[in-house]
Amino acid sequence: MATSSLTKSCFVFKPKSGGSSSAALDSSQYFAGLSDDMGIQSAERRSQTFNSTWQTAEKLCTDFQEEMFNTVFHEMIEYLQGSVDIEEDAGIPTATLITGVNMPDHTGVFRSLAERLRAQVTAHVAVLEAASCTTVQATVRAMVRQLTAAGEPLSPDVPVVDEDDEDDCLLDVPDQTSRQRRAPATMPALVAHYEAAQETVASPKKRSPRKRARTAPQRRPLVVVWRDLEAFQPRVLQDLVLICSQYRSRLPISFVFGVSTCASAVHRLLPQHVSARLSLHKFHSQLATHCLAEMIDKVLLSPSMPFRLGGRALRLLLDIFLYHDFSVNNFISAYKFCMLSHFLWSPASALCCEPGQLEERVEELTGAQVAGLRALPSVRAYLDDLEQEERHTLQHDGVFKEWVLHMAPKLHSKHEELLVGLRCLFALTKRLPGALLGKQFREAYNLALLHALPERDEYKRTFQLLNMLSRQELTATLEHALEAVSGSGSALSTLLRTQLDRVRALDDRPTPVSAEESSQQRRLVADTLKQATSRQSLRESLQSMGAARNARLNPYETLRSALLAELDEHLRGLIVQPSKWPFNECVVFDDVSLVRRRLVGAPRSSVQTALADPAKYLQCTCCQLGDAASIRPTMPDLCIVYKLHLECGRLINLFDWMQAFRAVVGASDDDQTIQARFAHCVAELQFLGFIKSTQRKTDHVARLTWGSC
Amino acid sequence: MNSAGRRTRKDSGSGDNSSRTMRTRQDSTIKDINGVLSVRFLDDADALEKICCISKTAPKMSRVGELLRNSQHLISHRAGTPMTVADPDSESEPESPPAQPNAALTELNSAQLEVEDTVRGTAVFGFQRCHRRSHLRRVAEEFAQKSPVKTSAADIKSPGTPRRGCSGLPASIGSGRRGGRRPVSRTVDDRNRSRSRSRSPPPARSRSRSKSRSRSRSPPPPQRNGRTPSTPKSAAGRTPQTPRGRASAALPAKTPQTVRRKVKLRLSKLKQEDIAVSDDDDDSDVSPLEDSSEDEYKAPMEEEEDDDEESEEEDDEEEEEEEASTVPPAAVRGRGGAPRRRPELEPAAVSAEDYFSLHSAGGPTSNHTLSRLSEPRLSGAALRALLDARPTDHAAERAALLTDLEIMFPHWLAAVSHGFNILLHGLGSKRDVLERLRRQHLRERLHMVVSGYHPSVTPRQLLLTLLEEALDVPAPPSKLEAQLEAVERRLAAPGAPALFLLVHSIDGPMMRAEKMQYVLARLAQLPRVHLLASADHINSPLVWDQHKLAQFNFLWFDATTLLPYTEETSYENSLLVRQTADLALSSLRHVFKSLTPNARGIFILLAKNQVERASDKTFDGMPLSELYQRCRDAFLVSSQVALRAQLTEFRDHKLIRTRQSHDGVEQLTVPLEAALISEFLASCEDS
Repeated sequence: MATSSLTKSCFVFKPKSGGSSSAALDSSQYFAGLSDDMGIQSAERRSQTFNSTWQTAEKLCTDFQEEMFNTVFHEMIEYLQGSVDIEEDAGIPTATLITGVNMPDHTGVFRSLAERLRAQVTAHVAVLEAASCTTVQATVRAMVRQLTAAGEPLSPDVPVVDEDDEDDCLLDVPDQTSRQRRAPATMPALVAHYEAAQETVASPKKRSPRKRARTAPQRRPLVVVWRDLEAFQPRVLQDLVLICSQYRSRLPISFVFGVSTCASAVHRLLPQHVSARLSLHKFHSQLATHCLAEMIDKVLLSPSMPFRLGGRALRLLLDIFLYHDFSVNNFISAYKFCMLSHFLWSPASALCCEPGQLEERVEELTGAQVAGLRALPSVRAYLDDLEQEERHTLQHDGVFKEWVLHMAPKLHSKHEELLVGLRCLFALTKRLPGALLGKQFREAYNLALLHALPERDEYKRTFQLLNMLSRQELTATLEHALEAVSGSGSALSTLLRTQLDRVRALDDRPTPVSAEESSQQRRLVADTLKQATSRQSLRESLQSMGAARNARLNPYETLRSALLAELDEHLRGLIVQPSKWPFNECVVFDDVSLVRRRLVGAPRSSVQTALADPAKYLQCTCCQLGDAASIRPTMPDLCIVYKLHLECGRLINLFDWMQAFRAVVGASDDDQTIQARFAHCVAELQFLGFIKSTQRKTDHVARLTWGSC
Repeated sequence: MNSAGRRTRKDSGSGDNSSRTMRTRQDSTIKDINGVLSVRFLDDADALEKICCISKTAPKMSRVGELLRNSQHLISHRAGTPMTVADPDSESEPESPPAQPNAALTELNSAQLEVEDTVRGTAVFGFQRCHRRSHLRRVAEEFAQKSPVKTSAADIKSPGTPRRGCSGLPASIGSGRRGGRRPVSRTVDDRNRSRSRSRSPPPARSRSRSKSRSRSRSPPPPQRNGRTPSTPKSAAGRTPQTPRGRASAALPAKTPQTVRRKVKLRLSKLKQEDIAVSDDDDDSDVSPLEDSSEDEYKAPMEEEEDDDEESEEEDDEEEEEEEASTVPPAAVRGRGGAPRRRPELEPAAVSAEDYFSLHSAGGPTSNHTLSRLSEPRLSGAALRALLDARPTDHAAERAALLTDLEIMFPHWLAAVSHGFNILLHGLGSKRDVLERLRRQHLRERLHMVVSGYHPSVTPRQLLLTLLEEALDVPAPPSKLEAQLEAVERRLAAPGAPALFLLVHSIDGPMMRAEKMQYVLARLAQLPRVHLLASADHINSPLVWDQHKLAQFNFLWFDATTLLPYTEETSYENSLLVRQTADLALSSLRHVFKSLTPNARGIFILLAKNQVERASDKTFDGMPLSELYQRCRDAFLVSSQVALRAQLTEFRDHKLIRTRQSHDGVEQLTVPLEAALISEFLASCEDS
């Protein structure tokens, strides 16, 4: 069946055999479809591993989000629970939730909020969205529908088709006999419904659900959540607030305003006489950056995740987050894509799994796969450093496999070590001036992934600065560092503990300067003073004396430099750049250009590149351009026409344009054909949005872009 | 002269070496030479030893020549014959007689003048045309006279590195060149004013021509180190380029602007690299093309931003050296297994200044209209027939692009099956891509195709089709919101099928509505709906806000196919295509059939009258009273009331249009062209 038609624009195709369409998509076949001969053997394995790894990650994400929402909504839910008791004069109790500008995350925030409200406050919850609430009528209907629908027990046995019908009927013919209980969606109906519901709840006390019996007051509030308040039309919002405040005596309505900019937006939207009817309370949700930090810590760096992002990929993702959308959800989605790409493209990713499953995986490796592993850059670099003999033994597949089995689990332990070392280092630098490793741990982590940190200036400078700390400061810093690594139970924490003990145990008294020494010194000073013939020589001698005395360190200073040297050595052992690990390609994904092209679309530049230099895409020899602005007659017509149009100002004379086109393509065709070619190209340029027709002059078009590229 | 001295110093060290390596490179592939050729001729011709190498590409030249006007065929053949003999290894020996190419050159110039005549109409495209034409004629004449001198001059010019090696020469050559350039040299202000024009061909063309003329006047310098390339060869090498220069209508006059622009570009690039992820130097994905462009921008960076023309030339030279050396080897073109590398895209270098120059300059356009053509607007059918008759260029390459995309299908499907949606962008119709995907992989799956470029696609239609045909809902709800909910509920039910939504031109004219995108975003969000869409418009990303983008969860794929947008543009009211009245005619026939015989008579009467008076310019409709009179005469109506009743019916069906004339008389016309009406009348008489 063709998909082009003069009248129809939507075409549905159904599978001939009904069965297979309902089968879930099996992505492993696509994994295989993309692989070369070597990768095809592990395709299914990789697909499975991706699924399980992503499930782990997803679970970590949802757990984290649950936890975060718990803290955020806790106060607000308490306030709403108590809102019924607020007396009527005080106005409608309104919780203003400042959500921040990360719009894409709000769906999740409000869904979770509604769930929590239903579970903990009241069954009567309505979530209003600006898109479907353009008039007062629609808003009231949406609100009343949701409030009343929630109160009723939904019968789960209603078949789906019936629900469709029911919805339809209710919207169009509200008073059908069989569905009278769903009265028209108006405020009086809501009152009636609410009172009825209260009665049924009140009379059989036994049936009161959950903890309501203990905490909830007699009446349950009706909560209306306004998602993204700024998007609503002020008129609708004002009217709704006024209407609801009229019913406040009969209905314990309370509002939740989701505000994404700042609290004053409420006052900008609502004039004083309206906002006077509200009693506003402000609540803050967590900052997106804070969420991200937590997320990275809990998900990306979790020891249960076998998959790791490389430095450049992580930086790209962070950049997208910080400079583009502030959306944690998008970050997770991008992370998922990285993971998918890793398992999709890298045959080595077959070994990216929990250490427990590694043995099985290594057993499965075929000869080709082993060869592929041996060809990994990191492995090759490692092998090159080995002795000739050893290298030779590793050429044998069996030995190599054993070696893999020995090395691969180390990837995970090494990452843990890196994290511990880095956390310690970050805690050490946190108090130092200048935020050498950044203000957030993710920055330090990214730095460690990108560079060999111990060789960096930041690292050296950190230790220089640490070497200047006073005793109290050093103690505090070490305590912080110990706190940061205490959970890991590594050697580093014991080291820090002993160091801390040593600092504390150091004798407090200043070292007694021996009498002999002091008298000697005094004599020396006196000598110098005598010998000094000029002011300059005196200064010099005093300076040299001072330097001599400074060179002698006091016990604390000696201890400090000893401790720091020890710490430095230890950290250098821990903080190793992942790209140096052999087999890191199995678990680390760092193809940043791929990710960037997929996640950050550049449709305009792809179109313009193709137009300005088609040889880049066609890869033909005939259209190679020496200069970006030159034209070749062999180029596709559209490119020629495009390039000619770049030479024009705002208006383009069609006739002249065509003559120029004719001059470029030469006389190979007759006039009519050239005209047809030109006409088609102009239509295409119009379709692409480069030009549009204009009435300003006959047979002219207006150019819509500027610049020349 | 300061910069000239600088250049001489700089070049004297590296010149010979680089030119030698250059030559070996050029020998390697013909393609390279082609690349050199285009730039070489038009920009500066002083490193003639390079041009010598071109002589061995004679067959290539003649192929190029075929593309030119008939008048130039002869020349390229003539230029070709001696060159085929040329041995690329013995470049230092003069080989072919000088007279032929020179004659060819002369002829070419006169041929070019003819071309100029045909292009005369262009105001923008033929910049400074009168001035240039007389200038060109002068040049041609000089060429004709001085052709023997020319050879010696070229001989002089060519040895080794004339500009580079010899420090005594520049004074004469420099002044000569400057004199030659005078006709086109413009002040900075002038350039600023007509920046958009500065890329137009004439300056470059006349510059190169005048340069060679000036060169012919310059005194012979001492011979250098015996590597003197032969004159005939250099001339022959250049001959075929001249038509090329004419053909490639826009080669930039290398103003300092270009230098400045590149510096700016480079700076912005550096800055961007600082901000965004920068260190993917070792990316295997970066194509060699990208590298070359990178290098290209480094060169001007070292240049100082001065208006001295010499430095530009130097710039040109360096650029083109790099260009020649970094042309990707043919081996890069992967046809087989691995998908070919899509070029890494550079950020479009557009400076804000360009905007103001575009809007302030607004150079006058000529008053030519399409009526100068024999048939100003082709009909759609004729257009298609003409285009179909013509073989498409780059057919193999375009097919290769398409097959490369096919290799990516599993990737798309894998991504789609894990909750991502696919958006294809890039130049060229992507209908074929999605169609192939559909045919190859989605045969056994429930899928729906939406033509976003179709002028009648609406959210309601989309949802109704989805519900009725795809999900088998017998009586779908009528409200949009309810429909969406129904779809959501349907697809959330256990055992529901996965639905693939293929949307051509998700940014099509009708798709840009907020409502449509809202519906699509809601659908795309569903776990069982997999959206694969294509976007064509350059401003398409403006359709989506953050929230929608997050709902769509797109992965962007560059799917440049360079295929013509035939289907997509067929619905659009193209500027150059005549609107066919087939539709109007057929609707007229249908309505006409349902009329009573008397009513038909009235209409035919009206139509005939209009056809008869088609040539009358003052005719603007038949007065109602006259029509009534005639109808009465023909016994079609008996009263004016009856006539009015009929006319109301006509008006309702848009068969006629009434207009009040200035004296208050109602005048009736049939809103169709006279030709169509007579066609209609003829068909009426037939039946």
